[in-house]
Amino acid sequence: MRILAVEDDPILANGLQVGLTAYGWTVDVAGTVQDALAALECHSFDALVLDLGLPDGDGLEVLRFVRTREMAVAVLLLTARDSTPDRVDALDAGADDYLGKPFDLDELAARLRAVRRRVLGRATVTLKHGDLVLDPKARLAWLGDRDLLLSRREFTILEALIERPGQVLSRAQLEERLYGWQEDIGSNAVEVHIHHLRAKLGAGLIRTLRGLGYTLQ
Amino acid sequence: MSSIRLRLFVILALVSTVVWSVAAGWVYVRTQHEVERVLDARLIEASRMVSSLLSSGEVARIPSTGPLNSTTRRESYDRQLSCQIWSLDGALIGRSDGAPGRRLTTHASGFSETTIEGERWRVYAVENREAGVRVLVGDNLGMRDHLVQSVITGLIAPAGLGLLAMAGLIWMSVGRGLAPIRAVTRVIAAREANDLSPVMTPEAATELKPFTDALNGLIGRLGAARKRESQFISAAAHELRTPLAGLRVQAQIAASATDKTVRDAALAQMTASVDRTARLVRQLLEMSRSEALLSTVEDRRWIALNDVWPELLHRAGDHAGIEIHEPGPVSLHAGPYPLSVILGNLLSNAAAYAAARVDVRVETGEPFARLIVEDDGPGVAPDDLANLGHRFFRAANARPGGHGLGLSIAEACARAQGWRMDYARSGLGGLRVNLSLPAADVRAEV
Repeated sequence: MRILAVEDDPILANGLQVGLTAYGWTVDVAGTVQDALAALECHSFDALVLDLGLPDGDGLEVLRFVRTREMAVAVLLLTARDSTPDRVDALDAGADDYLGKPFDLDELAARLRAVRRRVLGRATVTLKHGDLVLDPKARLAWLGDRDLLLSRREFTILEALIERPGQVLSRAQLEERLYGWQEDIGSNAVEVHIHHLRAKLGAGLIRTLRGLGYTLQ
Repeated sequence: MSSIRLRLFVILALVSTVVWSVAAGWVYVRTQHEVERVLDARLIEASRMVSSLLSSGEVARIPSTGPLNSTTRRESYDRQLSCQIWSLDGALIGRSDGAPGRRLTTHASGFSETTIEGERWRVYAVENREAGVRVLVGDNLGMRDHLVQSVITGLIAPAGLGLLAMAGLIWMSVGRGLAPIRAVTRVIAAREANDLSPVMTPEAATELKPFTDALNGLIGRLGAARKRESQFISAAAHELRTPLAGLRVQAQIAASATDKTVRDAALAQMTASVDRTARLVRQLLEMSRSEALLSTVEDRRWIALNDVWPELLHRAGDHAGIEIHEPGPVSLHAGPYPLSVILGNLLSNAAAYAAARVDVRVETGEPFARLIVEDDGPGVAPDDLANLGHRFFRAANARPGGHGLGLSIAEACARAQGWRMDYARSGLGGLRVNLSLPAADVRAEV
């Protein structure tokens, strides 16, 4: 899952980036409304962790931008203003969830998984495709009875594919999920990960559509 | 005398006593005068009556026989008058029962007063040449005084009782009259501490209105102060939550990190966060103190800027680019605390944004002297300049980690000193803060 954290406090922003990366996600950080809008224009994100009080405006501006563009992004608001009317306003403005500061990283991660499930219209905690089962919380995968030992990036690719059964994901889309914008991407990084995945899952599960991308069989 | 009731009672009781005493004195004098007039008239009448009886010859002249017994003093008024008839050659011809044996007066005619055997007499003498006698009729003055005194005592006794009754009535009436005060007292005493609505009295006495108005004014100011305070507390609580969130997240990262570099980085972030939170807390305290300064006047004295610069420069992180230009040694008339807060915040702020250079200039002038702090940093967008002194306001390009408090604190302290702060774009490229202060608050040191 690729996440954009919009938070102006440098220490909290750093904490979100480091902390959420530890859950296996790719996290980018924006400190202002403008940076956040620019990032949303250029990249696709699965979830947005949004602080309301930003130096150049209100986080709700970012939320409205996402909602008017009908981006399929789960938005979790993060704010110090967490009285009931504030929560109601935020949820009515289109937020998927709400978390008051200070918060627990595990709770934030759990809520992100939950809003992500909701965006994808899924009620179960685990992801299934045939014999393949993924637990995004524990970041574990099974094929039948067999435990799969996957690296963070391998799991991310598999998760992206299993979340959208039947859809074809391009190499660029997978790269988006795998790397933050400051990270260097090797020219054939995605191919390498797919290669490793095939070695672990068997050759038939991930199909390559030449020139288009990858999908699950 | 602290009790209004007692005070009013004493005043009213004293005034009534004085009025009654004056009335009694007046009655005494009038009564005495009237009694004298009436009794004198009676003396004249009696003596003439006796004289006329003698002239008509209907009364035989009886020579006196032997010494007469001195009369026993009588208290009743029936023997008040004494009559003596003397022949013109000085022999006592006759006298009434109880009249003294000695001649009542040596005066030939008219009124006179004598003392005989310790008793004072008022005597009227009539000479009757036709009968060859002199008629003396005397009135015992002791009796007269007794009469007047009886009248007065008859007056004083009920007056005294009346005064006592009046004292009671005054005490009660004053109590009743003060009922509105008690009503207001009850209303105020029964109030909850958080009830800051105006005081309304059921029996709104016009005399109490200035008092309740003043009280309501105070309550109003109190309410405004409390509102400010609660806004401040909620703003402060709100501001503290972000650094706390950062701290908690970093602590969780440090606790769960298996990689030493990740843990060390998180711990370093925690240290930085604690420092910044401590700064925020200090600023919040300065903020609340500067709010309080507006209502209290701190001791102001002359402070030489040269004495305070070193400490302030140190607080601004000993920024190498700070240059101070003074026309000569200058002192400012200010409270030491607000002055250090104002200048400290201006310098720290400028130093934090400056690329390389901060200029501080003092310009004396009439009617306002100016202290200017400017930097060569990124500056503030024109739209944001107007909001710069607002609490928690942060310009669009504010550096991360600030809380939008420094300038607002400086401005609040400046206001408390009667100074003014405004913002402009600096010629150096960054922000220019002008602190205007009355010329009377600036003094060149010699």
